[in-house]
Amino acid sequence: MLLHPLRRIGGIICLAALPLVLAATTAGGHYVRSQLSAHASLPEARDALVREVARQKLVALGFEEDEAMPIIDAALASGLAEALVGVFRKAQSGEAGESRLADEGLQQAMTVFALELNRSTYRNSEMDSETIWAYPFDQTTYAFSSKVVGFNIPGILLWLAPVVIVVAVAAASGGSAGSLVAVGAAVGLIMILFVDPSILFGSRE
Amino acid sequence: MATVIRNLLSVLLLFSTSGCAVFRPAPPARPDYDRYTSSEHSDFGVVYEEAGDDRAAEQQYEQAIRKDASNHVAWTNLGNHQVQAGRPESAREAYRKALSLRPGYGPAVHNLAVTYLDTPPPEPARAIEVINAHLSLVDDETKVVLEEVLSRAKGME
Repeated sequence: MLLHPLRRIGGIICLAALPLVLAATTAGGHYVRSQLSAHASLPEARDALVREVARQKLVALGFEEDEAMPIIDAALASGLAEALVGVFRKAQSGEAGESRLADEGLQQAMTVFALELNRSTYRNSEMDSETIWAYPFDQTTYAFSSKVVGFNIPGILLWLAPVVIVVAVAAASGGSAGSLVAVGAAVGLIMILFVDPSILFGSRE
Repeated sequence: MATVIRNLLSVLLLFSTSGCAVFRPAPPARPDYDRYTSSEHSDFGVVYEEAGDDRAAEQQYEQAIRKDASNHVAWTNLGNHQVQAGRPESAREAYRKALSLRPGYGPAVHNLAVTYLDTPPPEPARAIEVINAHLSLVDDETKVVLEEVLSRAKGME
C-alpha cells in the first residue's frame, strides 16, 4: 500500500524528466564532417590511398615501382580494395585510440592483399598473369616475405654444373689444388657475368 | 700452400668485383607521399578519418597544409580532427585560418560557431559574431543550417 503512491510519484518524475533527457541528448551542434576536395569522391580517394599504401609496401619489400604498379592495378581491378579497407577498419577496432594502420594493421592488410592476390581469378587470366605470378608470395607463413622468396634448385644445379664439370676434368687430368680453385673461379665468374643470377632464386609458375 | 692461398685471394677478389657480390635485395624504401598534392593528402585524411584512424588522418591534414598552406579545406578538416581530439582552442585556430583563406567557407563557419556553443564555458556571443560575419557569403543551403545554429546561440544568451 505504501509502495503504490511512491511508484506513482516515481513514474510521474520519470515522465517529467523524459523531455529533459531528450533535450540533453539532442542538444549540441553536430559538426560538419571533414570534406573532400573538389577533385575526388570518397571511393576514388579511398582507392588512391589503398593504392599508395600498397605501393609503399611493395617498394619497401624490394619491388621496383614499375613492377609494383601492375600488381596493384590487378588487385584493385579484382575488387581487393574493399578487402583491404575492411582489414584497415578491423585493425582499427583492436585498440581504442591507438593507430595501428601504419604498422600492424598494414601488415595484416598486406597479408590479406597477398593471399587474395594469389587466390584471385588472375591466375588464369592472360592479362597481368605473368606479372603477378613472377613474384609469388609466401602463403605458408601468411606473409609477404620479399621479392626473393627462396632458391630455385634446378637453377642452382644448372649454374653449378659447368663449374663442377670443369673442375672435375681439371682434377682428373692431374691439376694442382691451386689450379682447380683458379679454374673453378674463372668458370664461376663467367657464369656470373653471362648468366642471369635470378635463375638461382624464386620460381616462376 | 702459398699457391692455394694466393688462388683463394684471387677468388675472393673476383667475387667481390663480380655481380654476385652486389646482387642483393633493395634496401627498404622509406614510405613517402611526396608525389601527392595538398588536396590529395587532405582527401587521404578524410579516408583515414572515415576508417577511424584519427592519428593518420591528422598526419595527412598536416602534410596537406605543409604542401599548400592556403588549402582551406585541409585547415578545416584539421580543425575537425582537433575538436575530436579535445583541443577546441587549436581547432578554432584552424577554422579561423581556413576562414581567413576562404571567407564564408560553410563547414568552417559552422564548426567554429559550434565550438563556441559546445565547449564549456559556452560563448554564444562569439558564435553569433562568427556566423554574422560570414552569413552573407555563404550559399542558400548553408545559410539555412547556419541560421539554425544562430538561433540556438541566441537562445543560449
